[in-house]
Amino acid sequence: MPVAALPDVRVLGQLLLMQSVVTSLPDNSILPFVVQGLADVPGVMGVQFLAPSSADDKDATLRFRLACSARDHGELLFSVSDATAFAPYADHLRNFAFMLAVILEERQQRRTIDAQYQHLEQRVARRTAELARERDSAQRYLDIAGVMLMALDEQGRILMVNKKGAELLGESESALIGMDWFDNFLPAGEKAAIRQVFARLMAGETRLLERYENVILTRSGVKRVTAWNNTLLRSEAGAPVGTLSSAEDVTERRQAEERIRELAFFDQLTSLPNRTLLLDRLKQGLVTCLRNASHGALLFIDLDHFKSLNDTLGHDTGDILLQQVARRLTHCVREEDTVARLGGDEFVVILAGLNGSAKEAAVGAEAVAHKILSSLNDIYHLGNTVQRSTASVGVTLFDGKQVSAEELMKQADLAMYRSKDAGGNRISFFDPTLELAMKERVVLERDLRRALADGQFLLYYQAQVGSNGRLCGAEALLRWQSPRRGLVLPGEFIRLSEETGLILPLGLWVFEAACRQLAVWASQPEMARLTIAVNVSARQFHEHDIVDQLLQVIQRTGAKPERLKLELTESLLLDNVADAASKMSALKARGVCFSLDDFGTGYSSLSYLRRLPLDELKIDQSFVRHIVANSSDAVIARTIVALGQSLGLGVIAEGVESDEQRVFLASIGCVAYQGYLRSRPLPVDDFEQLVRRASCHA
Amino acid sequence: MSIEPHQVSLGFTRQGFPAGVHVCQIFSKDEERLDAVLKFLRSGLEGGERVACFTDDLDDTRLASYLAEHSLLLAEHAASGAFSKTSASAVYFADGRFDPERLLGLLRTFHQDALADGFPAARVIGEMMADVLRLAGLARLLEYEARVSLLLREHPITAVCQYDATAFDGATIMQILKVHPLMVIRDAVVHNPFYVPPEDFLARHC
Repeated sequence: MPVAALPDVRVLGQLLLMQSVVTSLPDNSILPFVVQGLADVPGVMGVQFLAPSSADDKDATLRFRLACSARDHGELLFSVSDATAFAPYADHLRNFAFMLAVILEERQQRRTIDAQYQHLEQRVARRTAELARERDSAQRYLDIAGVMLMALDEQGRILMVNKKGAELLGESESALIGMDWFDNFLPAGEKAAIRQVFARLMAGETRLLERYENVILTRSGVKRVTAWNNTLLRSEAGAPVGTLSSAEDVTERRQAEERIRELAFFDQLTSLPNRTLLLDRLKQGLVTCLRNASHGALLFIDLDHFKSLNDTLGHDTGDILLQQVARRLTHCVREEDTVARLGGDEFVVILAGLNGSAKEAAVGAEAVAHKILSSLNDIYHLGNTVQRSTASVGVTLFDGKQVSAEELMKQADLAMYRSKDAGGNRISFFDPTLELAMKERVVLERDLRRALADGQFLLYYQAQVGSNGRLCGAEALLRWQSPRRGLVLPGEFIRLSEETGLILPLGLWVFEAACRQLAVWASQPEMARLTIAVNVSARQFHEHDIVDQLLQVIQRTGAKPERLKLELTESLLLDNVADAASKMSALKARGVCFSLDDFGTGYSSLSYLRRLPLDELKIDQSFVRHIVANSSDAVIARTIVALGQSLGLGVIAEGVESDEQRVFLASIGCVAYQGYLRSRPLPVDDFEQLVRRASCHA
Repeated sequence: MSIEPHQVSLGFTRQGFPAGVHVCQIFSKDEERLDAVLKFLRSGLEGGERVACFTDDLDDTRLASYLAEHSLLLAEHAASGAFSKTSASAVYFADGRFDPERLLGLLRTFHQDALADGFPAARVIGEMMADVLRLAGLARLLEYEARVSLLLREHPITAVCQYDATAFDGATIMQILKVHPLMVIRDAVVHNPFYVPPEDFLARHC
């Protein structure tokens, strides 16, 4: 049996090398390379490659089919000249052929994949181009739309915007895509609120507002008024995913409308409302007054001697004056009031929401009218000349009942003519009784100022009985000894004093007079033990330096502070409890006592009673008056007494007029009292006699 | 007393070779060719050798950047005479002809000058252009490569010949392999089992 020869390692190396090299070769180089290399195999005379489906007329000693995955890549045909020399390599060549087939198959598959990939790439490119054309076409439709079109996603970012929108917003379309609409294009004060509404819309918590107008900001910060028409974008499941909106820039249209409105309702010279708008506002004012049960006032203002000024200085200068008058009038009133020009030199002011009675409304209206007169009396700089002017003012009040707007205009006009007839530069009321009241008020204020300067005020003293049943002091009560009016009680002038600020010097005068009286009494044995209670007004006590003022008076007069009892009202204390407590403590430290006046009529909170250094509670006379007959008054009085006892405070009742009242009060523990039962308020001499008589009886 | 041949690195592996090896690289992608050039030049410069490159494509910026990453400054090596780059077309086809005699003389001089200038060894890498088949024919090319192998025994220049598999057909590439004792295949340097010693090759074909 012949022994098969061993294969030459070098030849096997060649086969291996060819396998390695062919992987680096281009497809068309592989077979020529292999055919050339295999010719070196021992015993081989020649090698050929036969492609699949080629005519098989080749002579060959041996054939190796290049087959892989059932695909035929052809055959390698070997012409063998020395079968013995060739024999050791036959199997290796078969393996080589298979490896070659695998490589060829892999190349074939790669070519197929490459071709498919190329085909796909071509299809994708074609489709991309088609989509781009469609998008361009759609964009052209969007761009020729005369309005801004914009889509927002559910976060409020711009998904799409057309050319018109880009022009309106002042930014390129590409730069706008992805921008946050709310952050970038809404005024700062509205961003948060509108974004919240949008978020609620996307969450399905609110309905879409299909049409509205708002102001947007362009990229350069210019405000534009836009009219919106909105549609909700929904997912296939129906959930909101954004909005599609059209917006029209209506800025110019609205400006034109505003201009038309201005022409229709505003005076062109002064920009004030004209007669038409004035009447409209007046009618609204009448309705409001009727609804709120308040008053309003109509002021008719006419410049004095304007015609001669106009004739002398010319119409242009007159127009400048009218413009300055318009500005001054506007500065004299509140924002909710109306200043209008009827024409020529006639102006009208509507004051709205004047609270209180007709008389109180008249006071308010008169104050504004005075302010107007004063303002219009100031000099005017008219170009190169300086001019003075005055005005006549007619005032009528309204409460929305019965009288029409037109009628009110006539009333104010008539009142204005009364001012004009009286020489101008004055105020007249249409209602003669109101006018009289206003005049009286002016006179009263003038008399009060004179009374303070001339020393027409004096103190009366009303005796106070102490808890031991003996006369222990007095409440100082202000009286005005007017040479024209006689003796005037505080009820007639205190309110005006408070409104005009006269209460401050008047209050200080009362305090000083009381202190002087205490100093005088200190040297009289039967009077020296008495206390004087002095009322302090809220306005006075709120003066920041009131403590210093009072202490200086005490020091100046030599009064003993422990004989002083300051009567404060609950409302005064409640305005600022901490401030009141601080001031009271400072005075208390110097010996001054405090009584809480009119106790029971106010808030009567225990919490503040504890915080204040009080000495006494004073039961208001309104509870005392019917204390015997009215059980609820009796209960209140009893409660006040119990409260005072529990807080360690004295309790005194005021307005005690009968012995029945005194006995009842004593039965509930309140022995101290003040009232006509013991004595009416008396001049100081009479009071001193009362004290001396009481001392004798005691 | 025998003299140990100078050992060199070809730059593809850590394997050492005696100076004067004749290597063939068959490539089908440009990156493969440039990568081989860079590695071969770097290893030569690192070994202190004089190196020459015949190429039409490798630009100085890329080469300088690559060498700088390996702490080699191209400008310094060019200035010292260690490195030179010449157009492959200009080298192989001076006067529009492929002249093996001239090329062999050029290699001989290159080696002698390198030693004279104090370099321990010299190496060259060049891409053979497919135009050689049109200008001189395959036989002259194979004769040239065989004579290079003979020359390198006396003048041991380490040489790498680059052949573009997309420019030469498969049968030609097989013939070219037979005149190169070593091959670079995917960064591995292997002995070529197809190699025919130059005496045999020249005796058989010339």
